[in-house]
Amino acid sequence: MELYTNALNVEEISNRWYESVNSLNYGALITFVGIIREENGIEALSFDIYEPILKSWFNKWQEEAKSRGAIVKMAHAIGDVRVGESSYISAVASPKRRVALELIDEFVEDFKANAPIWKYDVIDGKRVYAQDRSTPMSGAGLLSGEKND
Amino acid sequence: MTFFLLILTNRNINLRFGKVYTYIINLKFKMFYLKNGKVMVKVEFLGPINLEPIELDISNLKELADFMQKKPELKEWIGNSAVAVNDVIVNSIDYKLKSGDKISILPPVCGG
Repeated sequence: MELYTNALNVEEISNRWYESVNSLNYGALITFVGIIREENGIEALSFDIYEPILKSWFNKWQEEAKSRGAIVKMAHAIGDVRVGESSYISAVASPKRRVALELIDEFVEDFKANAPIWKYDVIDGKRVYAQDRSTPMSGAGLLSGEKND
Repeated sequence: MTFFLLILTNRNINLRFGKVYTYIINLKFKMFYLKNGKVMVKVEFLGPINLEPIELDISNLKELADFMQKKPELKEWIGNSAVAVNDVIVNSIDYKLKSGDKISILPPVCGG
């Protein structure tokens, strides 16, 4: 897991990941690159991360991938990332394509739902929490007795 | 005087006295907590909640919910936030808190 301040260097990260699986005799490497797109007049998106829980979330996925004979990788940005730049890269490598194709889907979807990362629109230099696009984590609502499993 | 010096110079006796003393202090602490049933925990509010961490005198999460209910700036986050104790997500409202626990309130997320 790699965290960076501001935009990710897509070329450097994806090349390095490719090199690192090259020696493993794996037949598949799927890299997912998330790019900030222009929407509602935003100039950038901005991110807060809570690293201790992100780390344990990622460790759980590493274990899951290992049990399927695959490996997972991820990189994410902290702070502002401008339109057209990348804020998130994840990858799955496995000996055969099927495992990797299924795992990348589950991995990215669970990332969206449960990784402790908060997103803000940056408009006129101000950060506005992207509340309407955010999802309560699993276990949310515990305090109100309306737990989301 | 001789007795006093003996205590100071004899390590064994000193250690024994030290142990008794520590035991009494521990017992007093235990009695205090048993009587009050409260513990001091630290609560941090993550992401968009944007509040400084606070210390609270609570022994379970129900009391945390009651505290948040009374604060206008925290009320809206009760129903949609997850709760972690010492960086592990908690799934039971009956979770028993210990002194020194760190509680994190995690509002809705959106990575990527």
